[in-house]
Amino acid sequence: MAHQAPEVSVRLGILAAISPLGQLRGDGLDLRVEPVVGDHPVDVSVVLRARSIDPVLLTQSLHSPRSFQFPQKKCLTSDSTVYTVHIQMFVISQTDKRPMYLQIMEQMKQRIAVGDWAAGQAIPSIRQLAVDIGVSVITVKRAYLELEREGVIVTRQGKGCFVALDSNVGARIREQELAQHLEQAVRSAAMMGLSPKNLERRIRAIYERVADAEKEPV
Amino acid sequence: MNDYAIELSGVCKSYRFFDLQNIALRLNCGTIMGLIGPNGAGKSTTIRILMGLVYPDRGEVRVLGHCIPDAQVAAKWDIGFASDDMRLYDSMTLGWHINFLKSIYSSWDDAYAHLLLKRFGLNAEQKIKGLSHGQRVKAALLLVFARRPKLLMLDEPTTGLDPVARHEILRELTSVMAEEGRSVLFSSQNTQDIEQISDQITFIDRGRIIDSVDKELYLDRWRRLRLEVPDGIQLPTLPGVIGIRQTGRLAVAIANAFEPHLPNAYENSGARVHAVENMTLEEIFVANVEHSREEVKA
Repeated sequence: MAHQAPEVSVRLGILAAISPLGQLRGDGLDLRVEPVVGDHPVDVSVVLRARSIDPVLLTQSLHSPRSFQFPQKKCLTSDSTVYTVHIQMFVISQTDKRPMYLQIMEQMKQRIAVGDWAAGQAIPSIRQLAVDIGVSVITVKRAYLELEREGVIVTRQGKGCFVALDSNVGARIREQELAQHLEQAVRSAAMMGLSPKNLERRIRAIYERVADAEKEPV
Repeated sequence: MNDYAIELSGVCKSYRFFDLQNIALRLNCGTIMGLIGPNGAGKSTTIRILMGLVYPDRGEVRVLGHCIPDAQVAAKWDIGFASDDMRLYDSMTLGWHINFLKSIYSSWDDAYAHLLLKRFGLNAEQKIKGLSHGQRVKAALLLVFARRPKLLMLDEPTTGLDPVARHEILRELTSVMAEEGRSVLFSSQNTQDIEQISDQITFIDRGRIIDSVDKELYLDRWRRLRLEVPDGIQLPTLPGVIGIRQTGRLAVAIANAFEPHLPNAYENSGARVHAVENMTLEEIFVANVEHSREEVKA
């Protein structure tokens, strides 16, 4: 086709999931995803080519596991349009009985544990994250303070917030999670008057059952 | 500079069947405050006093550093106000309203207004009389948001909206916080909304402020303890606990000033603590109102 499609570059926040964007290919859009060297070191840039892009329509087609807010800012350059897209990276559950700051803490830890956020990497500021997920600044601040106290993140005055440099932070978080689960199990056992021996036996039985299940051919 | 977007002290207003008593309130610049309370508690009256729509009998009112009602005209350039009884011109289109406000306020952001039109699913060419209730609410909020005022004062902005529209509004409210120094005061019957986006919570019941505090501290003070009370054990009265309901051997205690030693105190009395649970703002709301009414009776 002679007509040259205008290029739209979409800057995505942290963890721009490539899979939901992939769906756009079928909609007459062509895109490439490239990490952006920009003001926000965790941004990912997505360049979309299309005959015309309706931001609202695009938002709808992007709507998949993560939801997108579109477009926050639009700046026109000679041949491309830059949209800043907000991805809802955290999902606050209303049915989750825990306070919101705990949910945020847990989801941040998860990002670190699975390696999405590497040791020493910059993370969004408190205000930025609050705006991104649509919760109050004070709630996010609390999550950051607690994570800082736990040594998971560090705040450097004037520079921002970072994942702790400790390279084992992911492993440490998983370790903490396990400790919590075990403690909960021991409490329940104590409440039922189960002896430590008995609990031990039951854990071993579960262990064997899980191991067996994994051995089975799919 | 003034650190408070809103300052009320000793504000009283008497009506035949309702009194607003000694209202003192402060909203820090750059924060969101949620106003919560049962119907007829005095939320709208408080907001009306702040807007100079109702004159208080006594007390001092300052909004963005201006004395209200005397300097209300100066204050209103920077206040965006919306309430559910606010009317737009029925026979005019939404676009006409947009142009009208644009001609008055230099802070009007046209690009933002168009973005909001799309987000809220509104059509600028449509006349107000053809809009549904929810669409009118969204139109009124659009006209307020696009001015980008320093202070947003919204009386029940999410009432009557569908869930998608509600989320859009909440999102717009929190996005206000991306710019330093802007503040929001909003009232809502929806405790979930307040819990999610406010930095401060102010609780009003029967014309009095029961609490006005940092939200995280507030939620943290309240806990529900599930207890097992063996036969022959009498639960002690402990400070910070506002109510205990016991049926058979199971009891639920509600604390409004929870301290970490509280579960131990129950354990020491011979009871067993099965769980210490956080409470949602909705649960706190109900417990708080019931408690304050019992106090009034007693």
